[in-house]
Amino acid sequence: MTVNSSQINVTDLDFDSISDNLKNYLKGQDKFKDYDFEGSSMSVLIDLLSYASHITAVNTNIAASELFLDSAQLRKNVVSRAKDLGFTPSSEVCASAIVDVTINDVRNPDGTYPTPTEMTMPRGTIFSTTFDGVNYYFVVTSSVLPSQNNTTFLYSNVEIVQGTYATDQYVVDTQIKNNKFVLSNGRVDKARMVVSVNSDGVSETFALATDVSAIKSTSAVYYTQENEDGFTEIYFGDGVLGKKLLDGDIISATYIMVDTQHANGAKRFAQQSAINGYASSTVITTSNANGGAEKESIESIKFKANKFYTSQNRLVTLNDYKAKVQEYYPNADAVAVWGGEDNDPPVYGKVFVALKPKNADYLSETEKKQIKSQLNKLNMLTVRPELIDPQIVKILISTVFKYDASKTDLSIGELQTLVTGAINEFDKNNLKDFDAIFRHSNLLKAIDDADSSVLSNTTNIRLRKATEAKINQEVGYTVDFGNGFNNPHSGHNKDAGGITTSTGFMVSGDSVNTQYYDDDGSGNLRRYYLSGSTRVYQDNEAGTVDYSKGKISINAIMFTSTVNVDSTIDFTVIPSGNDVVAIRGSLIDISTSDVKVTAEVDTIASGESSAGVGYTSTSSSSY
Amino acid sequence: MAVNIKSEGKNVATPNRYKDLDIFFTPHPVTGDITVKTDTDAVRRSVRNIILTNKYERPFKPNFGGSLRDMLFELDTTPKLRRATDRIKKELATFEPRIGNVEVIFEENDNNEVRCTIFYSINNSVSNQQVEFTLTRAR
Repeated sequence: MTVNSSQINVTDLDFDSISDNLKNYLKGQDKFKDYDFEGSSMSVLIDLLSYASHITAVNTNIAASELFLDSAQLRKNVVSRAKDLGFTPSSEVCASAIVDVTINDVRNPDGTYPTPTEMTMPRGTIFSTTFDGVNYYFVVTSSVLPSQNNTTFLYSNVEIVQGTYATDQYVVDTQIKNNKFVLSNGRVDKARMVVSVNSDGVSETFALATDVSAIKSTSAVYYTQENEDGFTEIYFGDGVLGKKLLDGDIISATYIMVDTQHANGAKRFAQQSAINGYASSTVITTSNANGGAEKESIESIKFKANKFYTSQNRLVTLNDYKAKVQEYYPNADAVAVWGGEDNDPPVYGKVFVALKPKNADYLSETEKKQIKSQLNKLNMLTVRPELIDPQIVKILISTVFKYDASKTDLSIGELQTLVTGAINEFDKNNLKDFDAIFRHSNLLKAIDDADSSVLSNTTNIRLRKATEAKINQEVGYTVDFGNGFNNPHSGHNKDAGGITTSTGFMVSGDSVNTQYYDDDGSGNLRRYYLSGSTRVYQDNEAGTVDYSKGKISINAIMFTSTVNVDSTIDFTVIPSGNDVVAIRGSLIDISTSDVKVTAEVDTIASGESSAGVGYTSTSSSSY
Repeated sequence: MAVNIKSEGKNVATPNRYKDLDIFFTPHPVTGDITVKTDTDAVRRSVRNIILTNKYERPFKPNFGGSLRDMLFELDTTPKLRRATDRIKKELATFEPRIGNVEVIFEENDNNEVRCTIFYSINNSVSNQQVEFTLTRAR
């Protein structure tokens, strides 16, 4: 079709489309006719023009995309866009642990004792740990003065962090405009960086600038940002917003180079470098290594930057808290926030924050205090944040699936592994956040889709929740599952223990029998021990079970020990429905170590049985 | 192609069937315009363009080209020459639908050069054409 120049299509950006449009355009003239033949000179020119147009279009598209936070792909541009919103992405964070160190038999050669000052543990003292078969090194962040008891020196609450100390020095040259000082290492924990400036022989430590409104012309502050290469650079005030540096001032930046592998969870440490010549010590860990994290990912920056901008550095709405907590604790896997009025029971004037770290189930007490004190600086006067541990409800899965043996070469064991993998993948993709819902039918579909030979499955679930037993204290407990329990009628399954089971424990007054809990189907929690396989009930009203709310209340009792080594008692129940919802600070999670998978050959599909004779199906209530 | 045809007892000249630019952009000595290649010249130039273009040379058209220049660095063996002949025929069949009856001849020589002659006829035309190439290395 002949096309006038005014009709040429200019919206296509692909090479082929541009080329076709040009050829269509050329059909409108008869000066040159060979544009349709690939070997013609016209074709060469058309290709060149199309190529140039295409490259220009691609460049324009990339440039336009990189201008906006939502569509930018390059880290330097995402960081730069986030900077416009006042958001500074978090750097790598080194794992830290708290230890008590004791050095015994410290004596000078002449028999006298060294003073605590002489035995000061200097910053940078090295400790080592072996975690998952790999050695890691930790260093002391600041010098520690010990307490002395004759020949014993005790260093309490020593914070050690994973990584290596490094110091960069720069000399200020005011001839260089807008001078920025780039750290020589890429993996730096910015929160632990110490910047000092030596001016005319007087050294002064500078603080990281956070709130511009509090900065004066004489404030000793430095600013930090990530440069285009991903390195941290520091810069200083201009004499208005922060103290201006002078020619010849010497800047020292001391920081910790963060290891590429984080030893989160490491709990046994040994002293490596000597203190005043003494390297033999006893190290007791009071807080396991945790908090190690990589620098903020591009996705995370995009997610947080606009929330940070919306919150405007103050805490009012729930999303403000959520954004700030994630900023203060980059290693958070999931954060849930709810107001005290929504709590059960309501606690007015408080905001509850539940946080699950990436590599552990709970925060340490130290970390909770740190986050809480940071939040306290920004929240409203009448509201106080409360950091609580997430309540983890484990879902126990038992599945029996039928498969057509003629449709697969896999062995029964390999099929079971495949289905187990599908369940784990479902857990990873669907149940990682607070507010998640376990949708039973979706799991069934995932199992059916695990392999083309899988024909059907019967999958039953149980819920398990652990409650911490306060050893040798007579107190009551409440275990809230947040999901109703199965209780079709009063007295359901009374003789076999209702729908509740628990792990064992010992109680005060009976040091012989390991005891357990079950229920009578009528709302009473019962405590018993086993004599052979017979349940000998010790207390038929040891507490109550609210089937509709999914709550177990235990009357005041003094536990002396538990079968679980971590002083917990696990309660396992049958839920009323197959879908499980996480309420408030609850996390639901498939207990991958408890997944039971059984494969059965489908006798009808394989032709072994006809007319359904001999076909067996799995009970929907079996586990 | 200007072809004289008999029509109702009169000789009538049809307009040029093929018209292309001169890829060397030679200006016309009088008008100064870029010269135009027509008919047999246009087809010959097209054949030349196809044969002398190496594969992967044209952007977004990796399969275009007879890759004759690549032969300068190939061994001078009979199988190699046969494969090159097949390749050139295939390329011309694919990218130059205006010609047929293609034959390719490589001449033997000892001068570190490739000498190739391509014979073809233009479809719907009586004219038999040929193009000769002699490729020598630049240094």
